[in-house]
Amino acid sequence: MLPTLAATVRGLAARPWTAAAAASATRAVVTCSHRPFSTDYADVAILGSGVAGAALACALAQAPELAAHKLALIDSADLTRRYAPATDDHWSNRVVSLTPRSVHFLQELGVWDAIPSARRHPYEHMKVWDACSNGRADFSAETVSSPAIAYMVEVPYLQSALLEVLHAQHADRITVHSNATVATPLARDDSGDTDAYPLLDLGSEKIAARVLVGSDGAQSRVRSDLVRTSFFGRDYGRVGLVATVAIDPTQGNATAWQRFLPTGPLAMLPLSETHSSLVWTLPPAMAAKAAALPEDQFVALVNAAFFYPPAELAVFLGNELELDIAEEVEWRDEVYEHGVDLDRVVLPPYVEAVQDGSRAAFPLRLRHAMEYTAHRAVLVGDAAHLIHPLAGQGLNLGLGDVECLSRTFRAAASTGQDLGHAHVLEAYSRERYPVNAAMLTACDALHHLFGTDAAPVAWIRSFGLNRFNQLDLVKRTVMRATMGEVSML
Amino acid sequence: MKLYPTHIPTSLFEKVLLTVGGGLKALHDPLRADMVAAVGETTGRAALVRLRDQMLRSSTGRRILRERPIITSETFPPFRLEALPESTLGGAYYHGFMQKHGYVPESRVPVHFIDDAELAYVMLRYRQVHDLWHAMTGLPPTVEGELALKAFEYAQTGLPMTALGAALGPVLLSHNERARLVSTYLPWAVMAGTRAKPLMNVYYEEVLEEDLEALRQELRVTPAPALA
Repeated sequence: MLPTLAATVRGLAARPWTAAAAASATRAVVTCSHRPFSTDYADVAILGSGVAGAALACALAQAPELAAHKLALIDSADLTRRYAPATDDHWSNRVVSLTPRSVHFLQELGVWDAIPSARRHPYEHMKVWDACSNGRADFSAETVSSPAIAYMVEVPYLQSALLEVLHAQHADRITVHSNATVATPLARDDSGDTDAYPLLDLGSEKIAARVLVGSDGAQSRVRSDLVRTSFFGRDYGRVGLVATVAIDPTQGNATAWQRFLPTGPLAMLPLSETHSSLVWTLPPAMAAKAAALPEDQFVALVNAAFFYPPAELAVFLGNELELDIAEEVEWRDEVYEHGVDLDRVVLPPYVEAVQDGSRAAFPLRLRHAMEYTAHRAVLVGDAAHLIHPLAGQGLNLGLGDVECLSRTFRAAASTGQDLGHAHVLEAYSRERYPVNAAMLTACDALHHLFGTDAAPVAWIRSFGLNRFNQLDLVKRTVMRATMGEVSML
Repeated sequence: MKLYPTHIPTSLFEKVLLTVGGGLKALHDPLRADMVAAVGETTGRAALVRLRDQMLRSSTGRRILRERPIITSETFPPFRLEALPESTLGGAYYHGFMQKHGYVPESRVPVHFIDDAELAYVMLRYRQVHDLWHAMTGLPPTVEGELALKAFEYAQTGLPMTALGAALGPVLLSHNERARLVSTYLPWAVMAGTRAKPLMNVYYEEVLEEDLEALRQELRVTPAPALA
C-alpha cells in the first residue's frame, strides 16, 4: 500500500501536471482512510485525557462507524494509574454534579456501572436561597419525573473508570500514549504529503492527525497554537474554596443546598449519607483566611455561613478583628436562636468536621473560545469554555461537547467523509456553541445578580425568585435545560 | 411572642398606626417622650441593624453586645460620680445634667416595639448614652441644645426619628434661636457627627473617670460652639 502511494506521488512530481491527474491523485489521498498501523499517523488524535478526552476516546473506540479509523489518545500523565480513595469515608475534593443527561451518556459508554454505587450519590432536592432577602427556590426531581436532579461523583474516580474501560475493552481500537509530553508550540505537517495535518511531536515519535481534538483544558495548546482564537471573558476576582465535610447524618443527605451571599454562593453537595462537598465562592483574601483556619473554627464558620447575615460573616472573614470564630459563633448562635422562625428558615445539615487536607481554592473565570474549530483542529471541554461553578455545569457542558462531537464524527464516517473537513467540524460547532454560550451567560448573569447586597437589587431578585418558585411550569423548563432533556428511567 | 421583658409584639399594620398616630401626638406635644420613643422604634429597624453591624466590627462593640451593660443608679452610682472632678466624663455628666436638671439614669423610656432582643438592646443603649453625649458635646439640655444633639445623633446613628426631630423641632424655637440653629449648630452637628468615631462602640461605664478633653481627642469629638 505505502510503496504504491509513494510511487504515485513520485509519479505526480515527474509527469506534466494536469487537472484530472491532480484530482484523481488528491482523491486517492483524501478518501483513503485505511493505512497500515504505523505510529506516525492517526485519523483522530485526542490531546488530553481528562474526563472529556477519555470519554471521547471511549465513545469513538466503541463506535462501529469508526472501526476502520485509527485513534490515538495522548496525555503527559501516567494513564495506567487508578484512583482509589484512602478509606471508605475519604472523598476527593474534586467532585462533579453529573446531570441525568451526562449519566445517560456515561451509561452508553459502559462507564457508569464501573463506578461503585457507594461513590455515586443522587440527590432529589435542591434548595437555593438568598442571604440578603427572603428569596428562595426549592427544586424537586419529581417535578420533571426524574429519579434525581443530579449525581455526585468524584472526578478522579470518573477519570479512572473511563481509562479502565478504555484499557479493558478498547485496547485494540485505540493507541494510548501515556506519559507523553508533546513538544510545543504545536505545529502542522508541512511535508506536502498531508493536507497540513496537525503534527504531534512526542520525542520518540511523531503523529500526524487527520483531526486533532483539543481536550487539553484551560491552558489548551491546541487552542493557542492551532485554532489560534481568542479565549475571551473575564476573571471573577473570586476563588472557589472546596472542602469535604462530615455532616450530621440524622436528617438524611439527598439535598443540594446553595446560599447566595453577596461575596459569592456557598454550596453544600451530598456525597454520601455522612459526607458532603462544599464549594464556597469567595474573594481570594477571605478564602485564604478560611482555608488556614483551625478545624473547629472552620466548621463553626461554615455552619454560621449558611445562616448568619452577611455582615457577620464579613467580620469573621475579614482582617480587622482577631476572633476565635468557634467561640464567637457560640455566642451569636444564642442571639439568633431566639428570633428564628423554624418554619421558614432554610437549614442544611450541620457540619461536624472537615476532612484533613481537603481545603483548596481555584480561581474562577469566565472564558469562551471565539471559534471551536480551525483547519483539522477542534476544541472540547475546558479548552473551549470556562464557567462559574454556581450551577455545576462545567464538566457537564464538556461531556455534552464530547457526545456531540462523537455523534458528528460517526455521522461523517458513515457517509465516508474526511473527519477533519471543515464542514464536519462546523456541524459540531454549530450545535454546541449556542448551548454553551447560553449557559455561560446565564451563570454569569446569576453571579452578578446575586453579587450585591444593594437593597433595590435584593428586593427585585427576591421577588423574582419567589415568583419563580411558585411557577411550576417555568421551573420545569429551567430544570430540563440544566439537567439535559433526557430523564433517566 | 415576647422576646424580652418589655416587648410588646405588634403586626405591621399596628406599627403603621403607631407611627402615624404617635408621630402626630409627638408633634403636638414633644415632651411626650413615650410617643417619640414609639415612633423611633417603629421606624428605626434598618438603622439599628446598621448600628449593630457597626458594633460587631469593633472589639469593644462586641463586648457591649455580649455583656449588655445597662445604665442604672447602681452601675452609675450618684455618690461615686459626685466625687469626680468636672473635668472627667463622669463628673461633667453628673454636675452638668444629673444634678442640675434632675435627670436620673432610669428616666429613659423602655423599648417596646422592636421585634428582636439584640436590636432592642441597641436602641436602649442609644437612649441611655444620649445624656453622656450631652456631656461629650457640651450641648445643654435646652430645646435648642436637644435639637442640635438630634442632628449630631442622626449623623452618628442614621435613626430616622433623629432626623425627623431635628427637622420638625425648630417650629418650637424663637426666630433668633432658629437662625442660630441653622447657621451654627446644624453645620457643626453634621461635621462633628461624621468626624467622630462610632460613639456607640464606647464602653462608657469604663471611661467615666477619664479626662473629658482627652476622651474627646481620642474619639475625635469636636465640642459644640458655646451657646450665649
